[in-house]
Amino acid sequence: MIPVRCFTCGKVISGAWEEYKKRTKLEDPAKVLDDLGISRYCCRRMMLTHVELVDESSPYY
Amino acid sequence: MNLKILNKTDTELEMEIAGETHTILNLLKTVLLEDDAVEIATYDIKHLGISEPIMYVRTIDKDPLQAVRSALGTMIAMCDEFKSVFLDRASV
Amino acid sequence: MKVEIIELGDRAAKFVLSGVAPAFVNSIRRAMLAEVPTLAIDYVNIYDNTSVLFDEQLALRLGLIPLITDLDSYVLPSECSCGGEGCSQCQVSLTLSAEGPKTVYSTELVSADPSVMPAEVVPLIKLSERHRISLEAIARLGTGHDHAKWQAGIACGYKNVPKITISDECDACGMCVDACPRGVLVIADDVVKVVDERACSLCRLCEGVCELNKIYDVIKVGTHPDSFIVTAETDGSIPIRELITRSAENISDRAEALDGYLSVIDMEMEMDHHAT
Repeated sequence: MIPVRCFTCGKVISGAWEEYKKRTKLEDPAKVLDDLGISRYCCRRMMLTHVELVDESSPYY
Repeated sequence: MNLKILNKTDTELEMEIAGETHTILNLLKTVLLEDDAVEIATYDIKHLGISEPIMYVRTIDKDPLQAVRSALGTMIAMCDEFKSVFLDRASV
Repeated sequence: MKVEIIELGDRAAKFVLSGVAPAFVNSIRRAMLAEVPTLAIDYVNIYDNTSVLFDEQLALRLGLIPLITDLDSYVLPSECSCGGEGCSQCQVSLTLSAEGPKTVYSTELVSADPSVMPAEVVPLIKLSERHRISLEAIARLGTGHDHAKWQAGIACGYKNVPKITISDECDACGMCVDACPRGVLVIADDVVKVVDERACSLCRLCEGVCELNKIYDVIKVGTHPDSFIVTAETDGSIPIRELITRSAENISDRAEALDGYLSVIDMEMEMDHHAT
């Protein structure tokens, strides 16, 4: 799961994850992040570097 | 907050202000040093998280306790002024 | 003391504060980050959790949800009349139960006090077939000192207002204009002009690339020592105006409390003096 808040500044960023994931299939991540109001680079890296693993592990729980 | 006076003479005051941090102490120190009667005003937190801050004030011809109290009064006035000026601007 | 507002929204503010000592701005910044209390989930009773996350991971995610806080109707557990045991004055209970397959959002939390609600839609956990969670969470007031979940202010900071001076020796070569990453400088009528001084990040790249700076002080990046550009943002638990005013109140309350202690000592000393 995407972390709830940015590790550095504490901004709540998880709410933007689903839209980010959907839109970046077609769009440029930089533009999507600007659109979602994620302006600081600390918050932007939270999105850019996240690897979603719940779907990988959920069959084993 | 919990206050402990460690040393008090006519011109010196040393006190431990348990539960306080840089947030008010640094401002208090700065305001104290603007008073001409205050020779030294400083504080120290020996180890972050485990020790309480100790403040030291030395004055010339003035009760250090009164110097600290008037500095606190200045701080309160500063905060009130900031609040009213900000709200005044924010409502425009 | 002067305030000039640049931006003021519900959650974010930017303003210029001038005529104050750096210590005062720093106190305001520290108070916004660590002293102004907010509600956050602090204790979780987990009745059932068969999801992919461990109980403690789930509890951490719950804790980080910003909750809309009315600071007039709650008190810190340490200052509560119940002595921190927990009563309706100092805590709120929120319940959550969900069954997969679905993604559980913070908005599904059911609060005992309808005014206390999650300020943001946070995906808490993705449940698949047979996964269930059922829990009761207790939210309490706390300060940023103790845990970042109680931090109402986000990315609160300040910088001095930049002051860029360009002397007459400038030959308008344009090196500084190209070097500036923020587009602060432009060439107009064969002279270098400052267009957006406040955007300057004080990186001083312009000073470095200027060839003439080696001989004279042609371009100089300085600051106004008593003016500050303050930026502040909240996590949504309280509006930004309230955060800023409460930070000032917090400092004056603390100062007043300290003055209260000192007045008692003052009086005792006076009495001792009279006694001897």
